[in-house]
Amino acid sequence: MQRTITHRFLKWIPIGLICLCSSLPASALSVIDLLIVYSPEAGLAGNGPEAMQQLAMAAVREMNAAHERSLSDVRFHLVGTVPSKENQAGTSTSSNLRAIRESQDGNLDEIQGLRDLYGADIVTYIFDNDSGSNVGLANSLTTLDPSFSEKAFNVIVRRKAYGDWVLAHEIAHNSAPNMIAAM
Amino acid sequence: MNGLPGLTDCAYGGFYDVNGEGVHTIMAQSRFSERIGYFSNPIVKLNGDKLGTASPPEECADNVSAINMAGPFVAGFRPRAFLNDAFADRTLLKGYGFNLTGDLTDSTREDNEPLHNPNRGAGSLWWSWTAPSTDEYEISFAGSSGMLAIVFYEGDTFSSLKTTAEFNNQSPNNPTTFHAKAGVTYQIAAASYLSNEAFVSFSITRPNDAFENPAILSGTQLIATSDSSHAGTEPREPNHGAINDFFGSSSNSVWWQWSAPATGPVQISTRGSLFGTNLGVYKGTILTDLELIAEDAYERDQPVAELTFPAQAGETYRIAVAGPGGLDIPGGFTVLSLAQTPQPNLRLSLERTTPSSLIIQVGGFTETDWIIETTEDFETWTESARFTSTDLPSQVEMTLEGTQRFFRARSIP
Repeated sequence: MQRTITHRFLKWIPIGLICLCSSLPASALSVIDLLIVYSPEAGLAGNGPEAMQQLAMAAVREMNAAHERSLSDVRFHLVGTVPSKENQAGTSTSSNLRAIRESQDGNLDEIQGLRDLYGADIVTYIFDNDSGSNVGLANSLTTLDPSFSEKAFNVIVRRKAYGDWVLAHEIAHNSAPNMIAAM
Repeated sequence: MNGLPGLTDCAYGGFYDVNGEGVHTIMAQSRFSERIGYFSNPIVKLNGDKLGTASPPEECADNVSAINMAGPFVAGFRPRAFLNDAFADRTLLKGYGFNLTGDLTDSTREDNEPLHNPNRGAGSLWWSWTAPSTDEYEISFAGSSGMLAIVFYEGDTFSSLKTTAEFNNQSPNNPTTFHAKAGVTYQIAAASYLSNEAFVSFSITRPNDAFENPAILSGTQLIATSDSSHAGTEPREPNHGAINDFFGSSSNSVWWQWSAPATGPVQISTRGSLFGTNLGVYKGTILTDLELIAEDAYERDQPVAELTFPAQAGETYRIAVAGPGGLDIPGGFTVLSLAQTPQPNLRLSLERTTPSSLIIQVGGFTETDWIIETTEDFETWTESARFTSTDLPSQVEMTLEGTQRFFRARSIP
């Protein structure tokens, strides 16, 4: 039996009520549901679904460990590691982030539906790129504006998905306010 | 934090580390600096120094403050789907280790669901893992929050579940290993002790740094992963193909052991690994006295190591994957794929038990369907028998008809 339950936290929290959130007991964790989607190109370079699932789990473990030792009250639950049917939108971070953010532009539109299906608060898209210094990009949460919910996406290149906290870095842009957009 | 490269206004860095190169937290830009695995938080200390500042603006200079403040807001972006709350919807896990996560908040307990000792009836989440090898796996609750039980079962229904192993994050005598059997599917339940306020982070892994403790591989088509970030090399260990001065050594090696179930060529690849790899295949049980079977070295334009070698049924091979010594990324997430194309060892016996019967033997591999065909002119082949090989070699006795003179066996995909 599968069921859907509204999260214990309000779906939308008006900016004026921010202080209620920060007054939560220190022991209360905020668990953010994360969906990882990867391009066919990344799946091929990554040696298939099984290896990609292992990579995703390793990356989330690395990120949660960083939050734990930094005494953060946030943890991430990997709700799924899913291949996309559509090819990636080029090899740049900006083109792929733009493609998954726009839901009806003809590029990677399936990701919006996957996000709702898996109930993911944030989606990370892994694509393939053998070179280049830009290894990740995220939409930055600048204020706790509910409309940002539709922009909670980030992209990272497969070769940097684990080992240098790139996933943790990009997701922090999605989930912590007043971060300056950075790669 | 002033003047360090790679820092944005919202990243923290300092000059106080032992190498004098500066510390860069996770929000520093990786292309300009090597980062440490921390967000900034003045409560946390590294080498005796605070990892952050409380100077304003707080939510910017102290990333953990910002993360904690926004966490509940972001966690509510989408309603939770609870994809693996029910036993029937358990998440499938594959591979040589995993790290599962889950939030037990609002999870439910089903009718007839077993009490996951010492659970008192709170909710649970479910996973299903088919062990790829018979091996001793390490378990860990690192990152979990709350009082948790993890129970491994065998069986497919609530009424048939039998407890295989129980773990919790409270007992000091909690076992730290799990003995898995190849091909067995384990149903894994996570439950909290008293209430549902718990976050699960549970891993079952198979470290394989040491030659004496290789991870065991089974089968003819498989993928295995490992993390060699902190692996080492051992004295007098082979260099696994490193052949020139620049890439002349190997580092961070991890080891697997594979016994060939059949005779036939084997392809091994490190595709998917996140660093340049050296690959070596050996026979032998003593590190300093190994027989090299095949190797492939890292090259700058070919970071994936791949090789093929002829394996013999029953032979045991040691497989090492290592990083190139002296480079920035000596190890990390490691993928090893192995694919064997078993070759049948066809035997045709013309020993006739009667004037019109013939015994044909097929060896090489089992669990294969075969067609026996005959011809007289090597142009037209006629099916004469079908059978499934079970043992090595398998045989079929067939009745001869007409003037059959030449025979062949074909495996059916």
